[in-house]
Amino acid sequence: MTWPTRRRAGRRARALSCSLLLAAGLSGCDDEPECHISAVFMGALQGPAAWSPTGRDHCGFADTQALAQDTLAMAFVNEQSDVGESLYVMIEQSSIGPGGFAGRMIYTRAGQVWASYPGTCTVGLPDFEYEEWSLIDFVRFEGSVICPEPLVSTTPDNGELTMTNIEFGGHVHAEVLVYPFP
Amino acid sequence: MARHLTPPRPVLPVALATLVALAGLGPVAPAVAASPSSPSPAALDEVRLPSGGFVRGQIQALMPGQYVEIRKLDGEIQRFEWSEIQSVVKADGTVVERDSAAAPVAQPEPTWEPGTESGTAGGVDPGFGEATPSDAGQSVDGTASTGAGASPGFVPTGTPGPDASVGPTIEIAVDRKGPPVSLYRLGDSTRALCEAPCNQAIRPGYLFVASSGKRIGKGFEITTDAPGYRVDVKRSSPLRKWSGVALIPVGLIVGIGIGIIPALHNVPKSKVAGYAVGGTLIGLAGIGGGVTLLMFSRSKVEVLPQTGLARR
Repeated sequence: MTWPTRRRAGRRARALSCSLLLAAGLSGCDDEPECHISAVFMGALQGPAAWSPTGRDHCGFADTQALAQDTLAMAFVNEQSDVGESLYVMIEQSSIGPGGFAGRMIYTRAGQVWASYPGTCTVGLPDFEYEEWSLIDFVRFEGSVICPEPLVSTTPDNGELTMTNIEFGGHVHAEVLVYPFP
Repeated sequence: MARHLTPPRPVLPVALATLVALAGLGPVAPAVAASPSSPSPAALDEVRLPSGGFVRGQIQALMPGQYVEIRKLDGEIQRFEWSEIQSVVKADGTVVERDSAAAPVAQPEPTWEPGTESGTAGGVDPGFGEATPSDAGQSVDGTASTGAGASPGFVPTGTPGPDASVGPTIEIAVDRKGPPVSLYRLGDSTRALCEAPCNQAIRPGYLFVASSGKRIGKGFEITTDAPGYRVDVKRSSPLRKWSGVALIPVGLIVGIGIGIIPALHNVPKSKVAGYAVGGTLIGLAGIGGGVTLLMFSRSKVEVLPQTGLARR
């Protein structure tokens, strides 16, 4: 049996056992990370945007070591987008908890990147709860971002992007994933 | 009083049988023309009739040339005039022919030894009944009458004893249908005493029941303390047995599986203890249920003295 086949078989077995457990009323088995984010775009893009991705590949903390030290990034990847769309809320802290933090926003779409300058946004996290699980702990949070300055495109031709009414939340793994930053 | 026994040890019954057999040689009366013969199948006294029939039981009184009285297994005593009989065959094989009878000789009461077939308890009992044609051919103790093995010679019975009966009546009740259940005497598994529901008088001793060549439950002892015994036989249940055999590993596997779920799946730590407790309970329930099924699947024999049973 090849490795992918074994991995699929293992996933099936886990899914089956978990389904049986859920059917037996034993909840809380292998919860998938889930999150949501919404904002209103102005400038290079117009209109509201909102998505609610699920899974550890679409919701969670991203590794920002390639961009900056002592920075955490919460990633929201729109799995429904055909062109590839994601939002990153970055907090300039090595640890995170309830409160307000200086941060920045990064928006990617179809290979194009808009980013605010570091420390120009304010990230509010009034609800932040750490949950201990048997294998991977979870974090449940709700917050908002205020970016008074527009996001700047890394390519001069795309113009600026203003984002308002940025709200986000989620229930994600409390570990930093190795994430393919744009 | 019924008493459950451990599996029989072959030495003791053989020794007892030998002692009783030696003791039985003592009271042979020289005044009567007697000679040993092969014992009757049921080891009972037998009055043989000219018609070919016979009556089995225990000789209560023997007056050669006059009459003979025999207590049948149902407790009734019948009296035969000497002219009505062909011969008298004693349990130990001695035979008194009608024509060779001389005079009655009284003998001391022999004692009965548990676990043997040769012991008798004799005695004169007034209120004799008369022989009827229907009595001829009566067979007890589950053995067939052959009518063979008669030869001259007889050991007369002695004075009445405290227990002049053959033995308590045994009723065998089987819980459900299946192969026939038979009653055997410990040490002699080749000859069934009777087959369920039995309802026959059986000489006291150590007994056991078996079906299809397999012993059911433990052996037990019947005595003359009770007029009868009810033997409740519960057959083994293969369904329960294999259900129990299956339930134990299934319960263990499911219990262990639930117990180690937190190590395989990501669950809140607040629920880990619940998984451990639930897994343990399910495992224990599986083991307990399996063991219970196994226990209830075993064959069982329960012997209940019937104090109010009227002897027929």
